[in-house]
Amino acid sequence: MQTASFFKQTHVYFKKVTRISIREKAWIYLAFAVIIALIVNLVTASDMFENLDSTKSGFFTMASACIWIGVFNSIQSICKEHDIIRSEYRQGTKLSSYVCAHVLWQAVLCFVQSLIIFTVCLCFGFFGDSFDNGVIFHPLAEYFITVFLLTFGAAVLGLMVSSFSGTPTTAMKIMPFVLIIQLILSGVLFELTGLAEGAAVITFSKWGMAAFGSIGDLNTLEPKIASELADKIPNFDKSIVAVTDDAFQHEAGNLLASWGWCLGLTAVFVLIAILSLKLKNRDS
Amino acid sequence: MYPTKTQMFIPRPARGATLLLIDSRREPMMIALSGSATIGGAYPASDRDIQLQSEIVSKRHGEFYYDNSADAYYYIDNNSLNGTFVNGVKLQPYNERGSRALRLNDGDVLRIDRSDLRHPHPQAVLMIFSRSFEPDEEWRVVNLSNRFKVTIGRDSSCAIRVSDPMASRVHAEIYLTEKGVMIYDNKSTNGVLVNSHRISGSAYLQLNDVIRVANTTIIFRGGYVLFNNPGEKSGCLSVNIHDQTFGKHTIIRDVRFEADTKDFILVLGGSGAGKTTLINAVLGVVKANGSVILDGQSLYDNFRSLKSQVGLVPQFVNLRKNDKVYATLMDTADIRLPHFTKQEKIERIDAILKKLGVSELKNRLIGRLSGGQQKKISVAVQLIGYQKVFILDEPDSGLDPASREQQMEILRSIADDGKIVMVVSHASEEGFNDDEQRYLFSKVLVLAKSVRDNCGELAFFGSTEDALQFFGVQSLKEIIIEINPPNEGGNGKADYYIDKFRGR
Repeated sequence: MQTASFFKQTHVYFKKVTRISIREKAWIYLAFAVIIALIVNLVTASDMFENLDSTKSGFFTMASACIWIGVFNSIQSICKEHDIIRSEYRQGTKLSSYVCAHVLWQAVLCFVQSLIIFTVCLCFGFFGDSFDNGVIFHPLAEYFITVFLLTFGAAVLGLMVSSFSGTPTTAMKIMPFVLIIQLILSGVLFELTGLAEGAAVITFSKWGMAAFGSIGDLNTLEPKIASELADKIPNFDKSIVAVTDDAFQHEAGNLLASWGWCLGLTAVFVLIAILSLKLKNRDS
Repeated sequence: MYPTKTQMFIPRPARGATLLLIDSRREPMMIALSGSATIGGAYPASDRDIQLQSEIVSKRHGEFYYDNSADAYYYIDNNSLNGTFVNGVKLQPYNERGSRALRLNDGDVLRIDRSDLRHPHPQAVLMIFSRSFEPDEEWRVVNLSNRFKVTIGRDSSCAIRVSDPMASRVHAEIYLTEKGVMIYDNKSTNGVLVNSHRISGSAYLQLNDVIRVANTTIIFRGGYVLFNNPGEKSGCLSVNIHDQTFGKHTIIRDVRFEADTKDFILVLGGSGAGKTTLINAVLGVVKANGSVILDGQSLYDNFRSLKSQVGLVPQFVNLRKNDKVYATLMDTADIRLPHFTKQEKIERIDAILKKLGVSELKNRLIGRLSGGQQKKISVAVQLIGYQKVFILDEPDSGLDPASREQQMEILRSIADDGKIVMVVSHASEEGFNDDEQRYLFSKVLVLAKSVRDNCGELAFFGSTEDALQFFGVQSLKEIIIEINPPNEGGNGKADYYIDKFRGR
């Protein structure tokens, strides 16, 4: 039986996924984005760009929120349809089209969510008030791109987990581990060495932090301890406690590399999701 | 209690098969087989049933043997001088009578030829054994001598038109080249088989090569090709399972049956008899030790191209509950019928919904339909794609008796449209037509779990009337009582019926 081409099938499944998602109250995901962005801003926005520590914490919280939102968007979307997929695959569905349709829908959803997060952040002054030194584009555009890439990448990560999880229950059991790994390997909570440092390369949190740090030029901010010591010690040389990180270099190459890693990981996770489904349905 | 008297053996009439015979000295012809038949050269006073003109055929060349108990045809080469090739393999002498009897499957190709089939003898004989060909099957000829290229496909412009939706628009092309005649697979979805082997790209053709494009058989005769076009109808499903094991445990053993187009088969069996295993084997999801032949092609060997021809309607509905009926069907049509126009798809969907009696549901959400309505939509989704075989796993579970009866009637009408429908059901009596006082099922397959080794085996396969007679019961539901173990409320006669059926 000749079936529709990859692009045609992707189009058909994209329409289907969009239609069903809207019917399944996709606005809830948008509401989550509003609520989480509000919470993050209420807690962190006032201290942003005061010093290195609070700004880094703010960016870390924002990156974590984006990852959480993204993973939550998609973690159940494929695993709840395994029986349907098996039947449709037998009848000619291309699994690559099916996964790509979900990826496209997540791109749309994450774009809207990123707009919401970005707007809330702007209202609360999360991104500061000085926007004259963008790395490549205007800093606000760079922040938006980073928020989108993180949310979208995490959504694709969720799709990948969903593709090899047998049931939604299993997927929800795996989800906390995925999030914890992202938090631990971000390099913000703990200094990473050895194997952990290598493993961190495959986390969105690391590259998200690097991008935020680069745009916000974290290396120019003083650590909190510097001003505390300066208050206590007259003529204290703040450069003694200054901390710089190569990952936060305010350079186009650094920012592009961070974005590139996010996109690369997203692409790899798409491929793994397709392969995982193919393996699951190899007998069908 | 087991009967103690020897029972009279009454052979059933042989089920028909057809032989397409291409004898070198006469026109191709169709021969209807209705039992055993001998073949040999057309010598004076020859007593052979099928007499061949070719000079390379021996006087007593071979014989087709019909095994009544297995409802199967076998071929034996009578140690002839030039021998017989079946699917390219020469039958070897086994005893004084001839070779071992080889069970024939739908689409098997028998040749009487030189030892090296790459250099065929001018008087070679070709026979295609088929349970799908109609005795009056129309065979057409396309001459190659006056053409540079012959196209094969579904498109109306093709010289060899194939109606089967399995065929691509321009599926393959036959070229006349300086080195000979070549067939080229035009990157078709389901490939081209030459002598049962899928070709990669292109291949040169030899005299009497048998080409399969979807369900069309094309025979290369040098200066011309001979082809049929069975259309969309299903042919023959031939299942020959030696065994299916899971770990060290054999789940089913010796399950052999053949289904024809328009067959509506009820699969009966107690719990653990291997019904699900059998379904999975026929679907090719879990390949058994044996073969499943559909329209003369092995499902296991050509799984990628044939799997979509065998559709399953599972016990539990596999549909997206938050999508509407019409949208679900249109999406299926968009994927499975890419060559259809929008209007053709709409017409097909409307026709299927009308046939299933659910036209009024087309704008409803699937999740808001009753269980019975959802099952009908499941059947509709499968019908969109022109499957040839439908397997329904307990389609009546959760339905009220009236809905069950209606569903059985719908399934009967689907079979009447030229499909093979197999239904696993415990509600066999819902398939009884009160008006006609007969069952809607054309055949019954009974799997019974042997007490000897806890393995599911075939206890019966045949018509409903024969089934009632075989089990000595008045209704099909009593068959389950006969074969079920006493602790499940049955008479515990599974092994008796397994042996009885095997020994028929």
